[in-house]
Amino acid sequence: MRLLIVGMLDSMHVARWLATIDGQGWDVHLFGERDTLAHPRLAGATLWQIDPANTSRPAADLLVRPALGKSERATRAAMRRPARRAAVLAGLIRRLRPDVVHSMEFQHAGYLTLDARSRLGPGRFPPWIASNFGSDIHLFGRFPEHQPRIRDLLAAADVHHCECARDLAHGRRFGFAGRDAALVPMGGGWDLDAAAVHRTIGPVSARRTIALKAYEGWAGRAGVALEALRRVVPLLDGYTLAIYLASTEMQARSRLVAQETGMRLEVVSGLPGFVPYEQILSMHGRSRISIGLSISDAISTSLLEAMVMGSFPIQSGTGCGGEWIEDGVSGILVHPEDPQPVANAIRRVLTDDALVDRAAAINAATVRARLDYPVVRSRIVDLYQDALARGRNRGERGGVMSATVPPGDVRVGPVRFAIVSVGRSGSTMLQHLLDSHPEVRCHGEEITKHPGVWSTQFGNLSMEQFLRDVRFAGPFRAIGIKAMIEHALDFPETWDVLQRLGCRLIVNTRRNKLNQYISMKLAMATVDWSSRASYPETRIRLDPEDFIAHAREWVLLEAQTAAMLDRFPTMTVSYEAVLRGEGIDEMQRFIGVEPQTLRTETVKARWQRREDVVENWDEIVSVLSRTRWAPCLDGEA
Amino acid sequence: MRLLMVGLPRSPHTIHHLNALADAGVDVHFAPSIEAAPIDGLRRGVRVHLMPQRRQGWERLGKTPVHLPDPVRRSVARSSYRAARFVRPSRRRDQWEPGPLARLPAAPQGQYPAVAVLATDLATALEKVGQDFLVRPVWLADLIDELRPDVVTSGTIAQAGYMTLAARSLCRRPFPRWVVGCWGLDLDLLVGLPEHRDPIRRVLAECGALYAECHRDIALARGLGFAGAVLGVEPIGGGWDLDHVRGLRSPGPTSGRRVLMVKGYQDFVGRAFVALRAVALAADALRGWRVLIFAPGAGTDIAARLLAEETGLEVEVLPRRPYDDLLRHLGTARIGLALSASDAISTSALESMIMGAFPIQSATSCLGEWIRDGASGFLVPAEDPEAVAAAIRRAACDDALVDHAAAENDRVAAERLDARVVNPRIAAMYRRALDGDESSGRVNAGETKGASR
Repeated sequence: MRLLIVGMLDSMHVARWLATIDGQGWDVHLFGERDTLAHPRLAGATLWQIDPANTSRPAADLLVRPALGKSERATRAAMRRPARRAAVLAGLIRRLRPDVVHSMEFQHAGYLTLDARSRLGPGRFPPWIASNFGSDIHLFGRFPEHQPRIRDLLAAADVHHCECARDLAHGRRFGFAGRDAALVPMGGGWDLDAAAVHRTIGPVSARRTIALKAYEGWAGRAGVALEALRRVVPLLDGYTLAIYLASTEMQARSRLVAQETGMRLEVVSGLPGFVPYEQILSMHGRSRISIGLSISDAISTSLLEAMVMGSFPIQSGTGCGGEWIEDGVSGILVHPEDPQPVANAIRRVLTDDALVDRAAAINAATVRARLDYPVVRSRIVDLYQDALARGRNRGERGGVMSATVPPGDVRVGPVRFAIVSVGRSGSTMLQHLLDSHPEVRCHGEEITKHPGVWSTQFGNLSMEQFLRDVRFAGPFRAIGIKAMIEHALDFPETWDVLQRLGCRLIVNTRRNKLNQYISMKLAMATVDWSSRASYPETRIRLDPEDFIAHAREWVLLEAQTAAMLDRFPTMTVSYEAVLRGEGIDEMQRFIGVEPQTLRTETVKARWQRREDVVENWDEIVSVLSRTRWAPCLDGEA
Repeated sequence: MRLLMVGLPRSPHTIHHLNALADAGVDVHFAPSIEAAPIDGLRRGVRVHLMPQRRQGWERLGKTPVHLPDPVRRSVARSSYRAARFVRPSRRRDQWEPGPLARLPAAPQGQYPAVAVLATDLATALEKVGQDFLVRPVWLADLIDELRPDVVTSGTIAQAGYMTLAARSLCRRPFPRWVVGCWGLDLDLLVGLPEHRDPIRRVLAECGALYAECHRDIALARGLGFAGAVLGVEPIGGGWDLDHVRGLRSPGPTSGRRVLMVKGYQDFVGRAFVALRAVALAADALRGWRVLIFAPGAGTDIAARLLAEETGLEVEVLPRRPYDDLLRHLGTARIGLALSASDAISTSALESMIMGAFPIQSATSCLGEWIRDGASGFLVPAEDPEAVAAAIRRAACDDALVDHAAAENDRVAAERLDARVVNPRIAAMYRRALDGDESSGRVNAGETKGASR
């Protein structure tokens, strides 16, 4: 699956979402609603920037590419005319042909995607998932200038993805007519066991830290929490106030409150700036209370962080925290702008040990059931499958999709595939056959240490970058490479790369290992591995033991590879079957093209009979007929 | 008398203070303490000096002070920044015209680190207040050396005061008489922050004279070891042309008005969110009213719209308009509400007073030296929406209260806020500083009625 996410590059949510879908073997692309510094945890995608210079410290697994060509960038720079983002996005969609476009957040990413869609025309736009970050309708839907755009967006989107049931209801109110998508937290899933490492040992009631999300701005109301703390001063003896996401101003305000209340102040993270996420988790993991107040939110990731780390959440009731905690039992919901109820809640939590310990247990069970990585990941996969299915339905109605697309998987961009085989199995013939299809490009052995291919020629690119950006680029419906199993042993990352690139595998085998062995020996004897010409009349002598060793190794390699390949869409074809003309149409359908008559320039290299080529054929027959390889003696393929 | 004021260009207080001095016939010069465009309203008698734009390259230097021997530092400083240039306010509003020398090409970047020598604590403090703290004091020192003012006055302690302190050590000529103004949160709030404590003490120790808006601040300064002269306690923005501003008031008694004016500042000290929440809590008493928000801060706009949506009140955020328009709006208001975590008198409260609006002001200001709490205004906790809502409700319902308050505040304004009275006093304050005669500083209780209460 090729996925294009449009979102805020500095958003923790986007970074966490990518982390959750990492390892699915999808080809993920990212376009920012503006060119900002990328979040340091952003990885596992190709990031398309209008101005790539704006990206700082990209993660190792984040490939930054310019969304505009060199000449266009130069022209725009000279004319001092910035590119229109929607136009750039539309161009990118035209170029990448993603299976699914996913906008994360409405007001910036969603509106931008809507503009790009209107440029391309609805019939040419891939299935669209519009994620709602929480305030997108709940808050902005109240403002007249946003209402028509929200309606347009929801009318155009195939999936309205929310993290709260509340927002689904808002969506319907604004005219979304599709089926409700699964509720998936915007921040994706959690590795709960890894997070647990950052919890302090012992009961939550023994903790003496209060964590405060120090946002104060159009939505954040941390100042109210500071005032609430002033009102419970006698209870704060020995406590530390840990603030995060705190602007310089809020740090100063917090320092003053800490002085007044006698608390120790710890600034865990400031704004702007990023700290390792583990520091945030560890802060919640040593906190008795985590306070987060804002006038509008969805679940609020800080609430989930608190729940995961055992801290008792005091959260504004303006979000949908009520869908995760039971008010007064496993957390307390308050008005974000009234300091007294917040103070009352703090007082209660500071004085009731049983309450916090019980809440920690309840919340631990809740997050185990609803936030664990595998749980969330499978929901996300469902979400994308859902989008594909709805897009397909739309396509059938509107005639968008091609008839060659195999059922169950809708591709708009080129299908990527790899022919996987051991040597002398006829993979070159297969490559040439497929390459003869006008809509298919099939490259040769790309993953090898032979000179002239990526490891030498493209040494400054990673294998993934090279394959994705060089080999798998082009105006074809399907693009493939040959991946020899022996060579892949030299590059252990091969299978992961192919999976990340969303490759389908055509596993090519040769049933008759003896013929395979003879082919290898002939190639060695004539020093011709090309398969483009027949060998001259040649006679070779074979060592039956050497053959058995080779055959065993090949079978073992094929078995080991097969075990690794169950994570790919796979089709197996044998050399012998292809020679009989079997499975060729299926193979073409498998890579998403209309079956045609294919041809190959390769020739059958060995034209002599085996008994004429092999000097000691009788010896071979007598030895092998007593082994499991006896079937190989039967006939020519 | 030639006076150079160092201060914040975007502050209306600065502009009013400069205008008051210009009106009183002082040769006034102004050096902005940060790089920012001024707000409008500066009279043409004030001469403004801009630092040549040399920001590029500074980010690269980072925060590390580079220590070089003194003579090198001086010479480099002088060659790089011998560029104090006259500019005047443009004929077009809201613009300044830089002089030709302000467009000098930038100095070679290699010279910059040489001037990056400041005491570490001061550098930290300057950084906290957001200045390009390495260049500006050098430029200011050059300006002072060239201009040779009789008096240098720093508009605030934390911002302009630090910069002047730094410049003082860089001047080649004897430093002029240095007067520091205390305009609000410096002594009341900032001094509570460890990084400001020592720098504020140093400014107080080294400046010769101080003036303030509040007696509270004079006492705080003395408490911090200030031993110099107190020049006076006056509203820093000077007085108003009362005949003119009264013409801007809507006719009729205050009790007939149905407008609530809310100050929209929301920042380190501004507490507009609390004010708007209080309005929501008191909405039942404000049916049929208009809520006007002026000087909106970040996020105030959304809060205002939600307020309108949730309460059904007519809420409007006023764009930045000429000063008279703001006063005209206040002249239609029954209540002027402004909350901040720290303030001096709060000019907006004084504006409410002169326009007949009933001031509800956070108790963190020293408006108590001007009004009688509960009679001619309310002092409320800045962070408590319930208490503020109660005050709003009472002022909204009690006609006699607001009418009596308006009459009383009119009297106070006539005595203490008339430009004809106040502005000469401000000029005289500086003249006394120049003469070294601080004994006649008008700080007695008779001059500041509220102080005795």
